[in-house]
Amino acid sequence: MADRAQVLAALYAALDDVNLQLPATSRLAKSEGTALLGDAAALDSLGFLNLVLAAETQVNARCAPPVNLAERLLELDESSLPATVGALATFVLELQGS
Amino acid sequence: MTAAWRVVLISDFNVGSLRGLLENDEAPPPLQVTTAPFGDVAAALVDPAHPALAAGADAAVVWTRPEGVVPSFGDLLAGRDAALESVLIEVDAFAAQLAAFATRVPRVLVPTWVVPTHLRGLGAIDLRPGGLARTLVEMNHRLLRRLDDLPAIVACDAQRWIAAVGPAAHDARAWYMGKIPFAAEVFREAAHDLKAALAASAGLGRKLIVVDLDDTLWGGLVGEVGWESLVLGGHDPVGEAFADVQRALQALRRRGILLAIASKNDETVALEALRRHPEMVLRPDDFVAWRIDWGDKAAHVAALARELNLDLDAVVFIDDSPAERARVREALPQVLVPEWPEQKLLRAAALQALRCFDVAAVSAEDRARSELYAAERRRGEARAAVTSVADWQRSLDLQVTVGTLARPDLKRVVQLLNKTNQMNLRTRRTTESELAAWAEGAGRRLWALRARDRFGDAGLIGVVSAERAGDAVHVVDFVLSCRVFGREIERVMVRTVVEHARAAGAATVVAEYLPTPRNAPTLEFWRRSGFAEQSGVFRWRASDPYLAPDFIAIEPAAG
Repeated sequence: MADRAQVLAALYAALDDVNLQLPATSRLAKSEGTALLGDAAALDSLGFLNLVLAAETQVNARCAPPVNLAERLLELDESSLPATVGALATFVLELQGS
Repeated sequence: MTAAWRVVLISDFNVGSLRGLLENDEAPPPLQVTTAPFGDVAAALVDPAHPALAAGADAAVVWTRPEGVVPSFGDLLAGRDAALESVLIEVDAFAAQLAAFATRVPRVLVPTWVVPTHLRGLGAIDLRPGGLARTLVEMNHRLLRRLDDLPAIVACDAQRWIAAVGPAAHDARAWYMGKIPFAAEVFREAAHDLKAALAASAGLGRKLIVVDLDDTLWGGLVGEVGWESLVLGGHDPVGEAFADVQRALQALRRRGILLAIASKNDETVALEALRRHPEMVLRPDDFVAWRIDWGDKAAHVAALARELNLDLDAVVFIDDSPAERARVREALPQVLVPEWPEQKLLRAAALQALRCFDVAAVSAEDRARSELYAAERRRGEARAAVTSVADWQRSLDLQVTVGTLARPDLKRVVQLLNKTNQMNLRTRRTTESELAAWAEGAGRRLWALRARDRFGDAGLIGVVSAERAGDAVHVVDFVLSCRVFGREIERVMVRTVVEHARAAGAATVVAEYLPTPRNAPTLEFWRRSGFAEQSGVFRWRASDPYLAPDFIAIEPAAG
C-alpha cells in the first residue's frame, strides 16, 4: 500500500494538470491545506470534477492498489466530500486500505 | 500588447475545460474565452440575438458530437437503420447553419466529428455502407466539402487529437459525471491546434527557419570528414533519418517557409557538401541566405532576419547543440528555438509536429516565395554592380500593375493585410468575408498591385484602399510587402489614390498614420512623400497631380 507521501505526490501531479486550466491568480498550491471546496476554494464544480478525474488517474498510475475514487466520491453527501488536498489524500489512503 | 480576441465556444457537450487552456496559452494572440450554454448549438448558430454573441466575437469554436447535430446518426448509434441520404441532408443543414453563423463571426473553427474508439458499430464490416465508421467518414467528407467555399471557417482534424492521446481519449467517467466526452489530454491537444489556427488567421505563423548543418542536416562534421563521408541517406537508419529531416524542411519550403543557414564551418567546404553530396535533398538554391563562418550564431540569426526584412518573431532556429540553442534563446527571446531530440531518428517527426508554421491559406505566392527571394538575391548582386541606388532602380525595368480588387486576389490581399507589419499605414487586420463586404461599401475603392522586373515576377505585393468622407478621400490601407521596399512602388500606390481622388472631384487626400511597434518605415516613407504633415496626418491637395517615378512602368490590370 502506498504511503501518504506517495499519494500526496500523485495529488500534486493532478493539481498540475488542473492548474493548466485555471487563471494564474487562481492556481492551486501544492499543499495539504489547499481548499478544494467551499468559499475558500478556487475550483468550480467543473474544476472539482477535473481534479477528481486527474487524481484518480495519477494515483492509479503511481500508487498501488488502484482506487475507484470518482465513483466512491459520488456516493458521499456533499458535506462529506474531502474539502482540502490533505483530506483527499486521507480519503485515498482509506480507500486503498479498505 | 495586442487586445485579447473574444472567442466563443459553442458545443453540445461541456467544453468548459477548453476555456482555461485557451486563455492560458501564452502564444499570441491573447484570448478571452466564453462558453455558450452547452446543448444550445442550433440557436447559437442561427439566432443573431443569441446571448452568446451579445458582446461580439472575433472567433468561435463550434465543436459537436455527430449525434448531437445529426439526429439520424443517433439512430445508427441506437442500432436503427438510417439512410445515408437522410444523414447527409442533416449534415447539409448543419453546414448551412455554420455558413450563416460565419457571416456574423469572422473566424469559425469546426473540429471534425469523432466517436469513441470502443464503438465498433458493425464490427469487421463497419466500413461498409450502413456502418458507423463508414457513415462518419461520409459525414465528415460532406461537411468538409460544404465548408470548402467558406474562407471564414476552418475545419480542424479532431481525430488527430484522439490519436495523440490514445485509448484513454474518451473518458466515460467524465461523460457520466460532467457531460464531457473527452479526457483532459484531448482538450490540451485541441487547445494547441485551435490556438495555432487562430494565430495563423492573424498571420502570426513563423516564416523563416535558420538551420545548423553538422549533425543537424547531416551526420558528422563536414570539415573533419569531408562531404563524401557524411551520414546522409543510403541504407542506414541514421542516414535515412537525416535525409527525412531535409525532406521535411523541403516540404515546408514548398509551402512558402524560407530556409537559411547559420553554421560554424568553412563556407566553401559546407557549400561544396550541399552541392556535391549525391543524397543531399536541400541544395544551395533552396536557401535564401546563409552565414557560414565561426561567428556568433545569435548575431547571425539576427542578421539573417534583418537581411530578409523579417521580424525576429517570424524566425525558428534549429540546431542539434544545446549550447547554441541556449545562446540563441537567451540573446533573441523572440526567436522560437524548439528542443531538438537527442535521438537522431526522432528529429524529422519533431520538425513535422511544429505548429508554428500554420497558415490560414497557402497562395501561389507562398509556394513561389523561395524563388522570389532567390530573385531578390540576384537583384542584390546587380545592385552591387551599379554605382547608385537610382541607377540600380532604373536597371530593374520595373513594371507595376494596378487593379481593383478581383475575387481571385482576395485570399492573397487578406494575407498581405494580415501579415505585413513594417509598411502598413493603419495595420487593419481582417478576413476575406469582412474585406469583400467592406470593399462593396459606397465611396470605397481597393487596389491590388503586382510587380515584375527583369529578374522575375514578385506577384501581388501591395494593397492600397481609400474611402470618401465629405470632400476628402482617406487612405484606409497602405500595405507593401517588405520584399519590394526601396523601389519607390510606394509612390505608385500614393499616385493611385490621388488619381482616384482627382477623378472623383475630391478636394483632399488624407493619410492618417497609426503607429505600431513595427511600422516606423511607413512613417519614414510618408514624411518624404511630399504630403503636408500635421501630427501623423498627411494631406495632399487633390487638384495637384502626384508623380510616380519615371523608371516604373505602370499598367492597369487586365480585365
